Amino acid sequence: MSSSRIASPLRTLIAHELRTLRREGTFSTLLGIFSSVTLFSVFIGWSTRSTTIAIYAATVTTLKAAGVSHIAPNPLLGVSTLSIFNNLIIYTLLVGALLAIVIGHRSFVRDRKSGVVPLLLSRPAGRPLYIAGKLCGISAALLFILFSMFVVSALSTLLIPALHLSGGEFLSLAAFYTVSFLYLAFFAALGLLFGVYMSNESLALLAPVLVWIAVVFILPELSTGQNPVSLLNPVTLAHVPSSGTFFSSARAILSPFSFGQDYTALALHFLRISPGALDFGTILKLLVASTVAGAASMFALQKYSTTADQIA
Amino acid sequence: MTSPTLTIAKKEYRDSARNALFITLAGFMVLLTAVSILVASFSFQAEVAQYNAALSQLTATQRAGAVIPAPSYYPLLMLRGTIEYLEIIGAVLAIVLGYLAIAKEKGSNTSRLLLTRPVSRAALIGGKVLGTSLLILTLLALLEGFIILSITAIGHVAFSSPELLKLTLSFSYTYFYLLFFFCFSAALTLFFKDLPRALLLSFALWLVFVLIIPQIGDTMDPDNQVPGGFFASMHTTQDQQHAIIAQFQNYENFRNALEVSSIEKHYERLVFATLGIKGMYNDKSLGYIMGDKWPDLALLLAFYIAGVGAAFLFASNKRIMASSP
Repeated sequence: MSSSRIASPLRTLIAHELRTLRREGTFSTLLGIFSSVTLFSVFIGWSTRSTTIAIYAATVTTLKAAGVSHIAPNPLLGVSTLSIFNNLIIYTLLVGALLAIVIGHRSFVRDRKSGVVPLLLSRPAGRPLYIAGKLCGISAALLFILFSMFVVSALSTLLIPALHLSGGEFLSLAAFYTVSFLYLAFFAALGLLFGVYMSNESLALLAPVLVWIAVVFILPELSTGQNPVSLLNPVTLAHVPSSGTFFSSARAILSPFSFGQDYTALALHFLRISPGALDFGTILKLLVASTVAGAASMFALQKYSTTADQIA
Repeated sequence: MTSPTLTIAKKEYRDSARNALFITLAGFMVLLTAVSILVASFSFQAEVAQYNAALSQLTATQRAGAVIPAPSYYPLLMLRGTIEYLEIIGAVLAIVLGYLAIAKEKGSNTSRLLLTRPVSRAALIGGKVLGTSLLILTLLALLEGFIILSITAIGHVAFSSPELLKLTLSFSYTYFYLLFFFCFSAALTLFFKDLPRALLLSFALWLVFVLIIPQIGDTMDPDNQVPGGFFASMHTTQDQQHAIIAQFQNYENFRNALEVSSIEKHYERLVFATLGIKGMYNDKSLGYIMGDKWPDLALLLAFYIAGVGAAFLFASNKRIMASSP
């Protein structure tokens, strides 16, 4: 089969996936949610930062009036302006991942419920191309949404006079959205995988959500000793993990599966909240995880029986 | 002869207890409790090891007289992670139960049959609320038993009577919190004809009220802007801190308004105070804690009543029978 003959059905499948997302209103809903979340996050970040700077000034006045001669420098000095986007890390970690799961889940379950899967799989395009089309369509939608979030973030910094990002900071912001895509693509592929693999619709949605809970809450808690709610504070996230043999052993064992911590570490680095060199291995790990989840859904579809194509 | 409410309650209890989704989530909740207790005990162990190392260093340098506070063991303080998981995952469990309670009738059209029988709508919803209440109470009792056994085994110290009372009271508050989410999800499932949309909306509101709003309130706290605390890094006294914050009352009011709009924050404040997780309430009497925290209890109950009220309010014949084509 020539490459152009393969590319054509793939393009059709991608276009169909995007069209369905648009027709269902999913695309506009997601775009609306993510754009609002970005604007809201910028407002919260800016308001908190400017209030804390004012509180520092008030603290200096109070301490001087109390006769204190040695006053600590402003702890926010040297913190990059990009840190005002820190809430976006949490929203991507929570809201983004859950929405990505829902998109991936619905992508196959929708076809399955409408009974078109046996018909689609009888076409010469083949099973791997069918899943590849779904994965590429979902990825294209996620990329467009994240690009829109980047544009909203960039424009919002122009609206607030106190916020001026340098060229390097804009690049860092773009890198933050790129790693966010890798993280979201992993969960979207996971939603698709369980949608193909499980016959019960509710359990097919619950299974990736349980994986998400493990990735976002359980693994970080086991390897750092932090409580679940502390893991939702970007400042605490950048804090040093707990010491002790148990936690260091848990970190070593769980490290290959700690995608949530990998994502937050990269996001904190790109938003310049956490110092230190960039770990390219972590980016590669997220890329491999998304690819493996996508490949697993292709494998699940190979085993999929069209004669038992029922969903409960 | 049993009343229709009791019959429906029994059926609801039996159905939910056998549901794969409920069993998976309840099992997951037990796993999360075990993980959080394990993590808390290892964190305490690490704290004790650090204390012993510091003490031997002081002894070696012949400064044994220097005082460093020894870490104190309070079994209820080991439950911070468990309570936070009940706040987050417990609410998901309750939402799933609320959705299933209504969706199974709407989806299989049994609601039409039920309404031909001499069963009032109040009895139908009342039975579902009662059955789920019993199921949640059973789950919480099992969880409390598991906590008592595991903490006693790990810490080798038995719970005192006041501690047991505080634990039981905290789990009673948890019932009200979880039942709010059950009723809230059931009300949305009754309201919408499209069942998946009702479930998605329930989860969207869960995200907003359980994760996002409390998270915003927390990250907007000026003291949380620096690891270890902003005021600790500035070496200010408590009085100075209060005087400084008083100058930013509008900001604090906005932050507080965000937090109090969420039932999760009232539940957390109440339970953290009762269990002594919030430092200033540790080892205090229940009377003292209630004297301070009654507004949170009142608001938790108000949310609960509003949730139950909404479930009854949306239970019209038209809505009970309306289902996706």
